[in-house]
Amino acid sequence: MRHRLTQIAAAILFALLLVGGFRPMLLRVLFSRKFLQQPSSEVAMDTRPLREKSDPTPPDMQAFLKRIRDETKPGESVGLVFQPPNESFSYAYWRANYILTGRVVRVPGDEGATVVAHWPEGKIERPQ
Amino acid sequence: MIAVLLTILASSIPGLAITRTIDREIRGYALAGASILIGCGTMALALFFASLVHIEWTRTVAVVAALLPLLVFARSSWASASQAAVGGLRSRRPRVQHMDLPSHTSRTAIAIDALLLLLIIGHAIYATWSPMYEWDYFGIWGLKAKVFFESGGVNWRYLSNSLWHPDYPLLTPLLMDLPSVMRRAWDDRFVGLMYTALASGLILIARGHLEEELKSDRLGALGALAIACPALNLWVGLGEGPVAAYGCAGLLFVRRGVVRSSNPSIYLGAVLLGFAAWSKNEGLALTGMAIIAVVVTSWRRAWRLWPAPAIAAIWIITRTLRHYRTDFTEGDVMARVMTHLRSFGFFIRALVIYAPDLRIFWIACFLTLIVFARRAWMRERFLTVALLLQAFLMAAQALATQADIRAHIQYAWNRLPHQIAPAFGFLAVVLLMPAMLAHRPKSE
Repeated sequence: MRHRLTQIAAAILFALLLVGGFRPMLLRVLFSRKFLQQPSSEVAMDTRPLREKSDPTPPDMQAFLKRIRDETKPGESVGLVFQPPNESFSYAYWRANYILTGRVVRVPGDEGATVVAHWPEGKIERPQ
Repeated sequence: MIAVLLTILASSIPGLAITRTIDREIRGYALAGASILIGCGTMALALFFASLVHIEWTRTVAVVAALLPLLVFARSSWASASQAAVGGLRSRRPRVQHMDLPSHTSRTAIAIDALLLLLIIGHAIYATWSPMYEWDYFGIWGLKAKVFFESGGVNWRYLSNSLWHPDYPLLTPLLMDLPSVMRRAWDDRFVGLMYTALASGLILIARGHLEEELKSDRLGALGALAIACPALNLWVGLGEGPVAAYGCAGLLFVRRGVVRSSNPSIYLGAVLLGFAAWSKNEGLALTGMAIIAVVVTSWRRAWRLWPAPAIAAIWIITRTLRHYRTDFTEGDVMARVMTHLRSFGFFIRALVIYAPDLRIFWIACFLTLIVFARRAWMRERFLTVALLLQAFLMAAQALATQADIRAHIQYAWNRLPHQIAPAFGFLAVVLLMPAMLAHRPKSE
């Protein structure tokens, strides 16, 4: 009897393991990717992987960051003057770091950059 | 995409050579899985060593790095064949005990394997449906990888001035660099496939070990299905994927070595644990926990894990010599821990509120450990001790944080346990399946 109960308990726990560990999303994605395009929050801090939602950086900001890269040379320092919610050490700051590799992206509030980029104005200045 | 796929394939060939050199018993699914993991890890570390001796990363350097293990393997195989040809010597050589696998695959196993393949393809689509945009990718892993690629090697000056985690081990960014070095251009569009490959390697290893353990291809496939989704880590672009793949694969091989008295398996597991230590600091902790667990289980074998600390030591010595700061150990750690312990109820509540997803899976794992505690202690002591210690450490490390503890738990506790979820699932499977089928292990 005890042996039979052990078998039943093991079967129930294995079923829980199998069902509980299954992600239907990995099969669903074979047929549709629409659910991956749900908008994320602007600051993009989330407890779930961001890949389950759309890219939180607007395309025009991405294009602006690429323009800064094109208009600067490796080794130059870049200051970012971004308005809320993209100010300070926001997601946008780190994204800019990634796109502007080779340049020195100044930490927020640090002055003396050779190039200053303003967002959402989309201006790139070279202070004298 | 082709560049990433070719890189994985090209890395797996030297991986196969190294795996076979370390462990001549291994074959089947486990051999395929270990080849992917060992190959990618070795190639990534080759980039690190090239930077140490000031060799700029080029495709030629990567190809030479891939060829070296093949030459060593060819030489050792030739030497073995020569010895075997000499009469009398053959009998003195230790007999190789190949993995005990069924000779043919049943239709049920083929159907389950097909489902496993679909899940892996699903993960590959998920990992590459758009370029990376995780915060940790831009802030830490991908940023380092791109800086290194543009610098033609590990940029030590950048690491010294890095705002965010300069002490983190470099395997993850180096794995991301590998396809770009082969392609001669930066590629962050399809690099997510590296994560799918590493997870697939772990699933193959689990599949092979379960088939051998349960002496059934159907049960092996079913067991692998139970842990497939936890192994296909969703945090693509972060350190979680590599540390989960290398760490869990390492634990599985060491477990096999302990249970089956196979020293080559322990060595292979130790090498994989060494790569886990190079993936993330949690991998380093896992290596320590694995050593403790082997000491508790079979202390005479503990020294055979030497490759794990030896591989890990390379990065520890490098970061110490270069004075890369570790934020966790900065300041008065004990004071922070004591302060957080004063609000212990708040800490526990935060762990419950921000618990990782797949909660039914976790509940099933822990219930299995409770219900089959005796069997876990008698038969699976190594895996049980290693995983429980690591789980405890993952929860406790939040007490030492310099940040707000609630925020720390909110943004870390949801993903850290996924690093050991596949191994936890494997442990539950090897405890439950024999009990379900009324196979009473002889040790009990």
